[in-house]
Parts: sequence; structure tokens; C-alpha cells
Amino acid sequence: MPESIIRLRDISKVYEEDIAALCDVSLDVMEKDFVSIVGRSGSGKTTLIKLLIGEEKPTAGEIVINGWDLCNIKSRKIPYFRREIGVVFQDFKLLQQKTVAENIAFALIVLGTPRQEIHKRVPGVLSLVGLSGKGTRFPNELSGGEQQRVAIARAFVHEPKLLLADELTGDLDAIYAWEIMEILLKINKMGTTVLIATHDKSIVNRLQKRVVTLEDGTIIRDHKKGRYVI
Amino acid sequence: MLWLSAIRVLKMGLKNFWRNFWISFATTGIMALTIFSVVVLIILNFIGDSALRSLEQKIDVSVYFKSDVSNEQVQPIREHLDTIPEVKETRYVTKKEALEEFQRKHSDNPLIIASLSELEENPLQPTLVIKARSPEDFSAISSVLKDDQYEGIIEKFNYEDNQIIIEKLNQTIALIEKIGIGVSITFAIISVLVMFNTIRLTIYTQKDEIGVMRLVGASNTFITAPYIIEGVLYGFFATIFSTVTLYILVKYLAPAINTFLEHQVDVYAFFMDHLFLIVIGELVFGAALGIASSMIAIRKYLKI
Ligand SMILES: Nc1ncnc2c1ncn2[C@@H]1O[C@H](COP(=O)(O)OP(=O)(O)OP(=O)(O)O)[C@@H](O)[C@H]1O
Ligand SMILES: [Mg+2]
Repeated sequence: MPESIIRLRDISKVYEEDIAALCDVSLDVMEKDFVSIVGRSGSGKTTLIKLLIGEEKPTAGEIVINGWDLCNIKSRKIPYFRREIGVVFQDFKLLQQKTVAENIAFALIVLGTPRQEIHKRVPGVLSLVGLSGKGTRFPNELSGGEQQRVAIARAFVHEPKLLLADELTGDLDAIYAWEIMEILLKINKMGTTVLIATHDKSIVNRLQKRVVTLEDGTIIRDHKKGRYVI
Repeated sequence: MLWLSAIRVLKMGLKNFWRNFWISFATTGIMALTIFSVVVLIILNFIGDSALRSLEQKIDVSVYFKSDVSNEQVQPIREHLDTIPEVKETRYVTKKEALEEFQRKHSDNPLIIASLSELEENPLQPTLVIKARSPEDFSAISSVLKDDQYEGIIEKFNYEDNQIIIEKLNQTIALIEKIGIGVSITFAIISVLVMFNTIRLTIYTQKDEIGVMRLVGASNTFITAPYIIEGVLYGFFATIFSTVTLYILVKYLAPAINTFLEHQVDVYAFFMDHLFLIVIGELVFGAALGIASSMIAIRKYLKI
């Protein structure tokens, strides 16, 4: 019986100037699930991801991720929570002066992983995302899609239980976007819960996985084998 | 894993330090100046204190006897003085010793030595040097010396009054101390500001790395430690700088200073005797300033 790794109860997020980005959102995601959060621009997808990684605090409600109560977490504990998840942001956040391999290794270095372990893991995760042999390149020598793969590799190299991705396939053409999705599906098959935020209709429809639709900060639809309907 | 992280953090701190050589150099320079001024203050304080102490010791009453007075005649006076509590010690200088002392003092003046040997007889007087415990004891001592029974043999006696000099020296020391502390504090504030700014710059150029570290779950200690280490390194290199400079200065200036102070103090010996303490003190002081600066920068720009 899989447990819920993400548990949101009546979450509201009001930014300054009374902008309600999220309103009474409740959501459960089971372990090993694959969930797409869809919605128009400004519907609150990024805000939701930020709440899920503890970067923002909800104005009201309850968030428990993999047993961590994010509403009451001490800020010095957040790093330990982050080690159990992996995040990919739209802007990748790759370090331009480091090579692909160094970018991925950096995530392990700062966690105190021994060198031999790093040497073992980096090539493995590079091949998982289909970038074998490109470890010595710098980010600006890669296409946008390849950079995205590096970001996924970095988010997954410590084998988190939960992988979150925001607008992964934003500016990619359909074929390339689907290749990225296949990587995420592979990761999901390995036992990692995956949650993505996207507004790519064709991708969501092709995935045949759970789809949660946001509109103006509230969940308006939650389909098991969903389609993106607006 | 802790050990590994410690090494990694140390490496990152070193990298931060060498990131921009000239900025680090200038920052270290300001810090060295601060440490330098503090140590100079301490040395000046030592010189002043020693000079004071030796002056205070010199509460001397010199009794000059008539030339023909024999050592045996002096003995009763000496014994008498030794019995009164106001006298700390007495030192008897015979005619012969007085001559030797005089010759030693003027050994670099051949003219005086030559004219002295012209004389057939030793022209110097036997002297009794009395050290009192405190300047107020003079009256008790002088009443003994004015005793009728000694009238025939004592030519004169005088009391070296150092009180005025001591007073003046005290004021000078206090003034130097005040100026020194003011200068040191000013330098300390400037160096904290400069270090703060340098570390702020490092943090700024590394904001992407910091963002990634946060994202992947690097602990706060891991994120902040390299900047703390950077601060400590400024203190460390500043200590080396200032100690070497001080050593050179002390080595070349000590003879002049010592002569000026009539060899009451030995600045070089003081410096060398306390070198270990000075270096440790410099390190602690420098590291404390460095750590304080990086803490302020971290507080302000890392929001941890
Ligand atoms: N830091 C912030 N301060 C104030 N308002 C914000 C902030 N971040 C987001 N918002 C507002 O919250 C609402 C939801 O924004 P959010 O970024 O979550 O939408 P989104 O679904 O990710 O949109 P997109 O698809 O364009 O990325 C928007 O109205 C936005 O203006
Ligand atoms: Mg968004």
C-alpha cells in the first residue's frame, strides 16, 4: 500500500499586495506516482512547486512532504529536507563556468559525498539522461534541451524520493519534449515520485498519467488518466 | 563525511581568498596595519611601563662622605640606616669603586680618562646610596643623616626627586595610550568594513553557486563556512605581514630606542621573549575581526 508522499491541506498562498496565487488547494500524491500540474499562465503552478520545496511558506494550510511538515520546519532543517527531493527549474540554474560533469558533481560535493562515489554516479546519471560523452562540455556548448537534461541529471544524481520539475518542456519542439518526458518516465519507473508543472497539452495527453488542473489558484479538475482540457 | 566536507570547505575558502589577488592583498594590508598598530601600542605601553618602574625604583638618597673618611667610619651609619623600615636597601660605593665606575662610564672619552690619570690621588668620594621604599620616606632618612654624631664625616646628601619626571611620563604614557587606542579602533573599524566589502563581493560573484547549493540541500554551515574561512585567512596573512614588518622594525630601531631610554629597557629582547604570545594574540585578534566581518556579510547577504 503506497503512502502519500505529498499531502496538501487547504493551502492558500497570498503574496504581498493581496495577490492570491493559491486558494484552498488540497492534494495528495502517492509514492511512485507521476502527476502533471497544468493550468494557464498565472494559475499558480510555480507557486505550488515553490511551496513543495519549502522555498515559500503557505499563508494558510498544511503541507507534509515525505514526512516533513513544511509549515513548521526550522530553516536550518530545510537543507536536510531538500536532500530527499530533486528540483528542476525552468531556468535550469546550471553553473556556466563548470562543465556538465562538474555541475552534476557539485550537487554531490556539497553534500559530502566521497570522491569515488561521485566518479561512479556522474557517468551513470549522464547516461540515464542520454548525455554520455558530453560530460566535459560547458553549458553554453549545449542546446536548450541538453541543458535541461543536465538539470534533470543534477536533480536526480542523489536519487531523491521525489522529483519536481517546473515548465520542463517550455521552449522545446514536440519530439525533443517527449524525449525529456521519457527520461522522467524512466526515473519514475525506478521508483521516484515525479511531479511536473507544464502547459504543454500534447505531452500531457500522451502521458496518460494523473493530471491536476489549476485555474486562478484552485484545483478545478483531478483526473487519474487525464487529458489537458481547458 | 564531516572530515571530507571540512576539507572541501577549506578549499573553497582558499579559492575565495585567491579569487582576486589584488583585492585580497589590499584587504590583508589594511588588516595588517590594524594588527600592527595594536602591537605597536602594546610595545609602547611596555616601554612606558618599564621606564616608569625603573624611575620609581630610583628613589635614591645619595650620601657623599668627606674624601678622607674610611670605610670603617661609614659602617655605623650604614647599620643604623639598615635598621629603619623606610630603607629598602643601602649600597656602599668606596672611593675605589667610585673611581672604577666613573672610568667605566666615561670609557669612550679618552680626554677625561687621560686627565684623571694626571691626578695623583683619587678625587672621588665614598658614597652611600640609599633606596627608600617610597618618596615619602625621605624625611625619616634625612633625620637619621642629620644626627649630630655623623656630622663630621658627611659632606652632603641629596635626594633625587623623580616625582616630576614620573608625573610627566605618566601623562605622556596616558596620552600615547589614548592616541594608540583611538588609532587602533579606527583601523579595526576600517578593516572590518573593507573585509566586509570584500566578502560581500565574493558572495555576490557566487550567488549562482549559492542558489544551487541551497537547491540541492547543502547545509547552512557548508554554505557559510568558506566565507568564514576567507575572513580567517585575512587575519592569518595579516599576522604574517605585520609580524615580519614589526620584526624588521624592532631589529633595526631597538638599539636607538634602547640608547634613548638609557638601556632601562630592551625592546628587542621584549619582542623576542614575547614573540609567541604576540603571534598568537595577533592570530586571535585578526581571525576575530575576519570572522566578525564575514558574519556581518553572511547575515546581510546570505539570509541565513
Ligand atoms: N513573488 C511573487 N510576488 C508576488 N506575486 C507573485 C509572486 N510570484 C507569483 N506571483 C503571482 O502569483 C500568481 C501565480 O503565479 P505563478 O508563477 O505561480 O503562475 P504559473 O502558473 O507558474 O504561471 P506560468 O505558467 O506563467 O509560469 C500570478 O498572479 C503571479 O503574478
Ligand atoms: Mg510558472
